[in-house]
Formats: sequence, C-alpha cells, structure tokens
Amino acid sequence: MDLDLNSLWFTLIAVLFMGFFLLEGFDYGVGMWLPFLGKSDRERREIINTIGPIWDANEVWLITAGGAIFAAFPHWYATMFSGFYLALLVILVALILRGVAFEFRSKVEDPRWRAWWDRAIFFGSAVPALLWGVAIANLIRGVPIDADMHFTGNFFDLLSPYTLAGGAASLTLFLLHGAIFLNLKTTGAVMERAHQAARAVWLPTVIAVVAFVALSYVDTDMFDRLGVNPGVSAFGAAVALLASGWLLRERQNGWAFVMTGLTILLTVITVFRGLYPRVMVSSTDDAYSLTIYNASSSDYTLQVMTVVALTVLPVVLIYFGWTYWVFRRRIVSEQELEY
Amino acid sequence: MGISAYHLLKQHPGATGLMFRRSFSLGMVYGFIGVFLVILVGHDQAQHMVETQPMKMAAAEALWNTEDPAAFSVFTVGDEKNREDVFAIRLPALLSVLAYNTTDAEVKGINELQAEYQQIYGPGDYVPPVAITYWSFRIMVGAGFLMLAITLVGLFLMFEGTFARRKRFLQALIPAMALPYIANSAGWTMTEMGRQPWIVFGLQRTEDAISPNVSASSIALSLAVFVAVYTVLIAADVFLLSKYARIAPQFEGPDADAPPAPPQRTAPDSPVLQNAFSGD
Repeated sequence: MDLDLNSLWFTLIAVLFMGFFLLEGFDYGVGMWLPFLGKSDRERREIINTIGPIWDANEVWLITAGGAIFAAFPHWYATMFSGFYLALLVILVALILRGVAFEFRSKVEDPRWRAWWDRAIFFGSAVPALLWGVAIANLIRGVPIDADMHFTGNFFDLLSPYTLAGGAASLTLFLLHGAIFLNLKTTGAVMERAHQAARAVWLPTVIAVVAFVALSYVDTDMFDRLGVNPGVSAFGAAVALLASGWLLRERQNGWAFVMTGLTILLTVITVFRGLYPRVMVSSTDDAYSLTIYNASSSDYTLQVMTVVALTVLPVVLIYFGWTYWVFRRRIVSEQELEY
Repeated sequence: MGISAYHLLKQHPGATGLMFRRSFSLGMVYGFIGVFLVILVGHDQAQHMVETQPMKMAAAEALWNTEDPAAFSVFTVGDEKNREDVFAIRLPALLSVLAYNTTDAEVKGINELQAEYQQIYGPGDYVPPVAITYWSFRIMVGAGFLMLAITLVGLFLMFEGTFARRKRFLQALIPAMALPYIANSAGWTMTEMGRQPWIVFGLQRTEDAISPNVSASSIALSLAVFVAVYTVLIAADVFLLSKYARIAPQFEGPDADAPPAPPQRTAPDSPVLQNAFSGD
C-alpha cells in the first residue's frame, strides 16, 4: 500500500464502514428480533430502548462514509449512486421508515398504531441488513461499467445467487450480533430469550458466511489477488466467528459480543484489502475499473479534507464514546422508558 | 407562540395559565429578534445576489429592462412571453436603494442580461421562469414581514399587559404557525427556479448535470415513492404534533399557583455491563 493521500482516504472510508457495520450491525439485529423476542408491548419497548439513544448516531457513520466518498472520490460516488439508484432508494426508504418508527411508536397507545411501526422497524432493519451484503458482494464481484465510468446494468443485474449469498451472510451475522447485544442490554425474560436466539442463529450464520466465502473463491478475483492464504484478517474473522459460538455456550456473552464485533471488523478489512486500489470493479473490462487514483478529487481537495478530518475526528469520537458511556446500563423492567 | 395562543384562549387557571403566559411572552421576544435578524440577513443576501446572479434578482422583481434608478415591484401581473407588464404597481428607485444603498444605481434587467449571457456563454435561453421566481419571492418576503408585524403587535400588547385577553389576535396566531414553513418553502423555490437554466451558475447547466445512466422512469419512480412516504409521514407528524400540543400540563398540590419545578426524572439503578464479562 502506498503512502499517499488517496490511500489514506481509502483507509479512512474503510474505517468508517467498519464502524458503521460494527455499530449499525447490532441495531439492525435488534430491529429484526423485535417482533420475535418481545412478547408484550412493554417488552418490545424495552428492546427498542436498548438502541433508542444510539441508533441514529450509528447511522451517521454511513452518512459520513457517503460524504467522504463524495468528497474524496467523486467518480466513485457518481458511478455507485447512479448505478445502484433503485437499490439505494429501497435502502433509503427502509431507513427513513425505521428511523421515524423508533420515535413515533410509543407516542400513541393504540395497539394498531404500534403494530404498524413494529412492522416498519422489522422491515426497515431486515431490508438494509440484507441489501448491504448484496451491495458488498457486488463491489467485490464487479458490475458492468463502461469506459466512461457509467454503470451499464440494471437493478436486477445486482441480484444473483452470489450477491444474495452475500446478503444472507450479512443478515445472519447482524442477527447474531444483535441478539448478543440484546442479551447484554436487557434483564429477565427478554435477556434469556435473546441468549437462546443468539445460540439458535449461530449455526445458520456460520453456514451462510462459509457459503459466501466459498462462492467468493469461485465467482470473484478477490482470492486470486489475496493469494491462497487470504491473510490474517480473513482467518481472524473466521476464528472470531467460531469462538463466538463456543463463548455463547459458555455464557461468556460479553466476550461473544467482542468476537462477533471482530468478525464484522475483520470482514470489512478483508473486503477493502481485496478491492485496493480499486473502489469499483468493472466486470466489463478490468481496465475500466475505478481506482483510488482515477476516481479521486484533486490533490488540493484531499489535503484540505485531511486537515479538517484529522482536526474534527477526535472530537467526534470523544462525544461518541461519551454517549455510549451515558447509556451503558441495562434496560430494566421497572424503568421509565423514553422510546 | 401559536400553541401558547391556543392554550391562552382556553383560559387555564392557576399555574398552567401562568406557564402559557410566560411561554407566549418568551416566544414573542425571541420571535421578534429572530424575524428581524432573518430579514436583515435576507437583505444582505439579496445584495450579494445582485452581484453574483443578477438574473435571479431581475426575475424576482420582474424587471424586464435595465433601469437607473430601478423601481421596486409591489404587485406585477406580467406577460412572460413578450416580457412586459400587464399591470404593475412599482415604487420608484426603491430597488436601487435595496440593492446598492443608493437612489442612483443601475439594476440590470432581464433583456439586457439575456443578451449579455449569450455573448459570454453562447446562444441559449438564460431567462428563468419569471412568474414562479417573482411570486415565490413575494410570498417569502410577504410571510417574513407578516411575521415581523405579528411580533411587533405582540410586543406592544405585551407591554400593554393585555395580550392574554386579545381573542382575535390569539386566534390569528394559530394559523400563523404555518408562516415560517411557507416562507421557507417559497424561498427555496425562488432560489432554485431563479437560478435556472444553471445548476451551478455560470459553470454547469441543469441539463448537463443529470446522471446519464439513470432513466427517467427511475427518477419518476423515486419521486413517486418519496411523495408517498413523506405524505404519510407528514400526516403522522401533524397528528402527533397536534395531539401533544393540545395537552396542557396539570400542576397539582398546594403549590399549584406557583411556577412549577422541572419534573425529576430518576430511573431506578440498573446493573451496568460489569456482569457481561464474567458469565452467569
């Protein structure tokens, strides 16, 4: 990896996606578990309150990543957002409804009102959890891009057995991650149910991830590029995922959460290592692929952004950590609930 | 202020009434400061706009030809095709004063700017939709000055000490809650429409900024989806806002006539994550 500003911004964007999937991963999981683990309205509110104060901050990692792509690699942004237009529209609508649902749900007592917003939370979490995996699989495999950096496919080109396997992997991984998080943040019946849910979903997660990795060997050039030994990050991700299953059985749920977190972080690292220095792979001709050099903005822009980012980022990280510290307690059943 | 007015009309007794009299006064003072500053900033921005995008100002004033000094339009019904007034009330020289702080300054008109732009940027139509730009500008400015008038009347009634009894004024304040939204939307319309045919003035035309590989049907679909989603959300939002705005807080106990202390929010202690790493 060369030490230049383009590589620095590629790394920064990778870090933003790591943060996004690590954090939003569990709150997608919590959203998907909501109708299954909350048997009463009170329990469902407890579940929502585990992520109530933090889900929007988690989502900002995605917005920041999108902003960083726009500023550092405008061609990447243009090709991806135009090419994946309808797919991103679906994700966006899901996220809008989900975000509103967290705020609106508890404001009216009517059970029908609450049932509608519960559906919005479930689908608003499940759809992006699936589609992010699909999107990442498409980035790895490559999509039709012509010499003018224009995406030439359509919405249904983005869906294939391989990319859907990617979606299944991300969906199950977030379910596992979210169930462990719920177990750590609740008490009583919900806590126990979340533990059972995490144990139940662990094996399907391993199967989905293994299937996705196997298909990646067949369908993409990723492992040609990384070699037969895909490196520490890929092996680390696999070991962490296996360890989480054992730790769940031993009821070491805090450590199990660390392990699913590591799985997510190391997977994102592996994906970005496989891409570098490309940002969008062209399946039409590798010469048409977008790289961190032909898709970047001017050197001056990158310099200014680097100074700004390195100044502001520590402040953001400090208040982000502070939020998590303030809301570190478990949700207990006698508590007054905000969401 | 609108919500406080609604509750003042209900004439709640005791601490509740006192709370709304206070919230109303607070809203009036802050409202006046806010509206006054917004109008000043708007004026400043318009002076900036005359320099950078004179066509937008010409369209916002329906100023067909360059004038020196230029008149300010109060009300114009124009013929956009032939670029002439059908009926107009204009205040002489006021536009020059507003734009350049002097009665003797030239403000360029649409016809002159069109000719000038054709020389710079090549042949083409550089005139934005005048009627939309003109009327959205007037709605924005009108709503702004209406809000200023309301806060001035409100401040006067406040010092007179009679605002809580002025029924008609209080009733008028309830629909007035829409004014900031109207001003905002109209202003946005004006600044976007007045810039056409440019998306970045002088650099990129809107027609050149369209993604070449996103079909018109995709755009139409996304627009339809957003309209549908936001219609539902606006309905839910208005329903919730009015539901909560109608609720008057009740203060009980012997101190009910005194201003209330903020409610204490105490959650029972709950176990921290400390148990998470030790197993059960």
